[in-house]
Amino acid sequence: MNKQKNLHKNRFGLAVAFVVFILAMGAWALHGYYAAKQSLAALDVQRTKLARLKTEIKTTQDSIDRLKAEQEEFKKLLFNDRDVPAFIDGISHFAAKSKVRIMDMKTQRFSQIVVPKSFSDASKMENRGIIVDTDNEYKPDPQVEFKNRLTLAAMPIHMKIKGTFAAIVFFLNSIENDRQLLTVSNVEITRNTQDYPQLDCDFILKIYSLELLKDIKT
Amino acid sequence: MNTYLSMEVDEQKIRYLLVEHSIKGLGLIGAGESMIQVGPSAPGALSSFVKELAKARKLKIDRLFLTINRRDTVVHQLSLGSVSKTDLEQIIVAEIEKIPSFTDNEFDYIYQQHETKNRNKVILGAMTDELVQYLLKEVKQTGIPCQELELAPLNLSGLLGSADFKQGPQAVIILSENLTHLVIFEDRQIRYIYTTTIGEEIWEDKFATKSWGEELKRTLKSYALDTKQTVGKHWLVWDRDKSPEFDKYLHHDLNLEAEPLNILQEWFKENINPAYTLAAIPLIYKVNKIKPVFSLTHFLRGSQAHNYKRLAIISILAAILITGAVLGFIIDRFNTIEHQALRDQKDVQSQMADVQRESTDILKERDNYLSMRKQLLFQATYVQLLKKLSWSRALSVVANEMPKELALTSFKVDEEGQVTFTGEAFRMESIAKLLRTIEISSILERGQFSYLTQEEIEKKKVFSFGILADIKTGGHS
Repeated sequence: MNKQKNLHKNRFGLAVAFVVFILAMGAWALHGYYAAKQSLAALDVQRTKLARLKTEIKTTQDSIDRLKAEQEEFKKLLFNDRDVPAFIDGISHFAAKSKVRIMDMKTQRFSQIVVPKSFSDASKMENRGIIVDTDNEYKPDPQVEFKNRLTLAAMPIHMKIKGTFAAIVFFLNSIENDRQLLTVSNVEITRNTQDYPQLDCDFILKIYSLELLKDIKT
Repeated sequence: MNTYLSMEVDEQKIRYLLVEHSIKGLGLIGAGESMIQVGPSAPGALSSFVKELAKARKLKIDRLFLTINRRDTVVHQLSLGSVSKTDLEQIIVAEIEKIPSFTDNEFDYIYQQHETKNRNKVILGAMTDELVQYLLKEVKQTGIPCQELELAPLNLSGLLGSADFKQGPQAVIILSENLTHLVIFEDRQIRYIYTTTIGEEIWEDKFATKSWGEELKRTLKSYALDTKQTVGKHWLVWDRDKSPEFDKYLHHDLNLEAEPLNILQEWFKENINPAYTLAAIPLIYKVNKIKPVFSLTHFLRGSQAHNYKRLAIISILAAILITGAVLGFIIDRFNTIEHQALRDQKDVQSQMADVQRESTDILKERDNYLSMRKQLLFQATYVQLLKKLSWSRALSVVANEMPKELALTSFKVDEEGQVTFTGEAFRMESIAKLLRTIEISSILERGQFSYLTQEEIEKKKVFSFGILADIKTGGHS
């Protein structure tokens, strides 16, 4: 009778060992499954982040390309260094055509356009992302890398001309109609008693260009 | 085709049948007996006999069948009242323990009971564990499978099913060496069993033979009195080769008519000595797939248990291996996936670090461009406002709106739009007219005197004046 009991005991022991083994292996497999699942989920999240980041970079790059294109378009409205001698030649041509005499013409170097605070309300400008410092002058964002920063620069040309009132008006009109951006300021017309109706006219003609900030005086 | 060796084992000899089993049935290869002392005191005797027999006959034996017919076993009958199974087991054990050779030894037993008229008749057989273990060990040493063991003559009656054995209770007298069994059976069931330790030795002594015969007749008479049934026929199992006329001797000298039990003729063509009947019992059961009343595997449970245990261990090990391999593969796959995912994560993190660096540079570049754009926009807006005043138009307007009585000596407009007129007039009214004209001018506003002086030139009063005004900030282009 003991033999049968021992036999049953052994069978039971083996069955228990087998079940324990299966359970242990099953638990191990389950653990492996969840670990793999978690790793894959984490990988998926990271890949999504990477894809989003790449998309953002692409969007940003597109934005940069658009800004560059805008800048190039803007440049077309301005003078470049090669245009200046031709323009000065052109002024002589306009003077002859307008029957005015250029008495004096002095050019200066390009300098950065400094916008006085009085030009507009500083707080409004700041709201538009434009920095206005306490010295009443606009200053660009210091975070922008200095060596690559472009700025709108103006080259003042002090001019003295002589001519009749109508000739002076025609001359100024000819200059103002130039395709490129330029401004006339500080106009002063004075009567010359010796050779009236010839008048003396002083004014400042400014032509504009995009220049690297490091290359010009502020 | 299989070759079987079926043996009857007693203390002094082995009687065997070598049989070939094919789809045609059983064929006798050989039969014989060997005088060998077999038992726990002769380890290796049985296994050596089997090996030598196979070697001598140049046979590969596929299976062994054992019949144990010895005085150190018990085949016995009990007659009891109605008892529970537990009590019955206790009674059987106690009954066996009364036998001196079983008193101090472990033993295994088998029994069957049948009830007749409120009587519980129990037929039992028992073997000491020592003998069983010895047999198992011997069988194991042969390396030949053995799954049937008969404790003679428990299952003999189960083979007696032909028409000759169906006329009421009949008896089989089994005369063996040192042992005689008298089995009364009916419908293949043992009704009564009687065993005496007198065997073939009676042939040497007529008085002993007579005494043996009287004992058997008394037993038969006792059965008839007890059951009120007469045993119709007697059958005899004996060694015909040793005593060819013994059945006739019984009839004539002892008045006990017994026919030779030739049941082996049902399965073998050969006329086999009835003495081999006991040896053939387990073989015939197995080959003919007859279910025995007393299990032929009962005493081999130890071996079978061992086999089962080994099989169970092998099965479980195989299951563990297969399951382990499958789960191991799955675990390995998950581990591989996890490690690959971790490696991919590192790659992605590295790429992300690169992209973030690139992103930082690009964002910085974009911020630079945006900042420059704001700055340029602001500067351009400022310049555009400066350009709003068309000088040619402004001068034309001034020329047209200027009173004719005035002579301007200078006209100046500074960068902030402040206009300075200087001139000369003969009359104050002309200067006042100029101021009024400024108030309604399309390009000037806020006219005011700067200075006014009077002097005489060529005896005429001449007024020199200075007037300040502002260029209108709106409405001109």
